[in-house]
Formats: sequence, C-alpha cells, structure tokens
Amino acid sequence: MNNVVLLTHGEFSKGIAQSCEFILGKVDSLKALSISMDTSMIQAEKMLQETICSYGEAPVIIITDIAAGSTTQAGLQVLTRYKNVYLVSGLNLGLLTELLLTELPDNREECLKILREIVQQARETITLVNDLADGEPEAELSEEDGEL
Amino acid sequence: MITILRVDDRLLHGQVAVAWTNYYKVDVILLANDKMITDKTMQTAFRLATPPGITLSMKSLDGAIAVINNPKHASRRIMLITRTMQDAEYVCGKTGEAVREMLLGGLKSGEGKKQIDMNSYMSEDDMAVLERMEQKGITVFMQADPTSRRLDSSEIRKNYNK
Repeated sequence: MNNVVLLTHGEFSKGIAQSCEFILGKVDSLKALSISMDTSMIQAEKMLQETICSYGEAPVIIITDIAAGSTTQAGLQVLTRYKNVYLVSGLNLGLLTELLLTELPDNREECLKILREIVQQARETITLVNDLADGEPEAELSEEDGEL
Repeated sequence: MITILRVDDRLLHGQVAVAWTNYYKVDVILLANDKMITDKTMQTAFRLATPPGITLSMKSLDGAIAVINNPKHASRRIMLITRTMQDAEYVCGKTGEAVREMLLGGLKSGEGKKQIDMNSYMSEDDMAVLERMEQKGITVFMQADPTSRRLDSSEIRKNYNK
C-alpha cells in the first residue's frame, strides 16, 4: 500500500485512520497527524517534514482535511521541498482507501495523472442519496439473458 | 471467469467493495440474490457501494447462472457474491466448474448456529454444504478482510466442533 500521511484539525486524522483499518485491516504505511489550537505553522511543517523523511525516498501522499485550512497551507510549504511528495485536500474515507490501494508508478508525471483521476472519482462519490432513492422507477432488472 | 465466490450476509459492503475487489483485482461484481431484484432500496445501496471502474451486475440466482454460463464474459474477472451457503451451492450446481474458490465471511448468527470466526456463524446445514463444495474440488476458506487471518476448511470444522 502507498505511504499516506493525514494532517487534520484535531483528531479527525486518527479517527478516520481507525475507520480505514476497519475496512482494509492493519495499514502500516498510514500515519495520522493533528494540529491543535496552539500548533504554530512552523510546528505543523516540522511535524510533516519529519514524517515524510521517515519514509525515505519513496513516494508519500499527504491528505489534508480542508483546502482552505492551515493544514493544507502547511502541506503546501512542505510540498515545494520534495520531489516525492503529493498533496491532496478534502479527506474522506473513500478517497483515503483509493489513495492507499492504487498502485503508483515511479514516474512523477504518470503518478500525477493517476492521482488526478482518483481525485475526480472521489469528487463524484459525494452524492445526494435522496435523488437516487426517489428518482424515476428503474427499468426491470433484465433477467436470465446472460448479460451483465 | 469467476475469480472468487464470496458468501456474505450483507452481500456488498465496505470491506468487500473496497478491500476484496482490490485484492482479487476484479472488474465485475455479480450479486446473486432473489430478494434484491425486486427491492429498490437494496439496489440503490449496492450501486452506491460499487467502487469506480467496477461493473455491478445484480441478478436473481438463475440470472447469475445465465451470466456465468455465458462464454462472452470469460475474460472478465468476476467476484460472485451470495448471501448464504445454500444460494452458493445452488449456483455452483448449475455452472459446472466455474467456481474454484469460495471465501466465507460476515455469516450472521442465528438459531442453532455456532461461532466460527469473530463475525461469522455456521449451522449444521452450512457445514454439510461446505463438505459437498469441497467434494466438487472447490477450496473453501473464511477471512474477514485481506489482512486478517485466513481459516482453511479444517480450521472451520475444528471451530464448529469445539
């Protein structure tokens, strides 16, 4: 599985890491970091940097909780210093499992291309379920015709 | 081809949709259940649970049999899912040697059932199905998610007879 670092306001990162292990089982390559009210930007960056270094040269994906937050700002500072680091904002459980499971190539351009696809797909999973449940009645499920 | 047959009381949920489909690299999830094909809420729930890039096919037991026996899908990697051991046996009985591996998990508790694994319980009849599946040359095992411990059929039997 890919190396993933979560950085969130408060304990969200630890909570979602636990939710993730509920689905995938134990994930050793996942680390959960938090900032609190009194964490400075410098401290947040330092924390991220130390964690990234612990993975060596291997690709690392940082996921932050909200684009407009200091978590993403700290990630952005760190991003510019490394060739092997990727930053995605908008943490949710579907996005996290995809980012852990999808195999990433060594080539940075190809890697970015795959990450772009994962982000797009994750965006599409945010759904107003009422619209699906209350929509037009579906056509009868086709029966024994052998088609999928 | 049927890459794996999963027997799971909830049919399709997070562990199956995310962890097992990734583990087996499947591109089709084939749900075989007679109740589901008339239950719109179940259908909506399963559509939501299907990961991007995977085709979901919801069929009655006989509908699933027709899919499996259609040579057109031979190159697809299909995860077949039934709710019970009995449904699984019915499908396997009419699809020749299409199913080679049977993965049990999330078998709910009930009257006369014994606990086999943390979240799985089996009845005497379930055990009889297991025997018959093995006689057909199908490998039967139990595992909740890909990183948890795999119980082979001898361990399933041992836990049942405890």
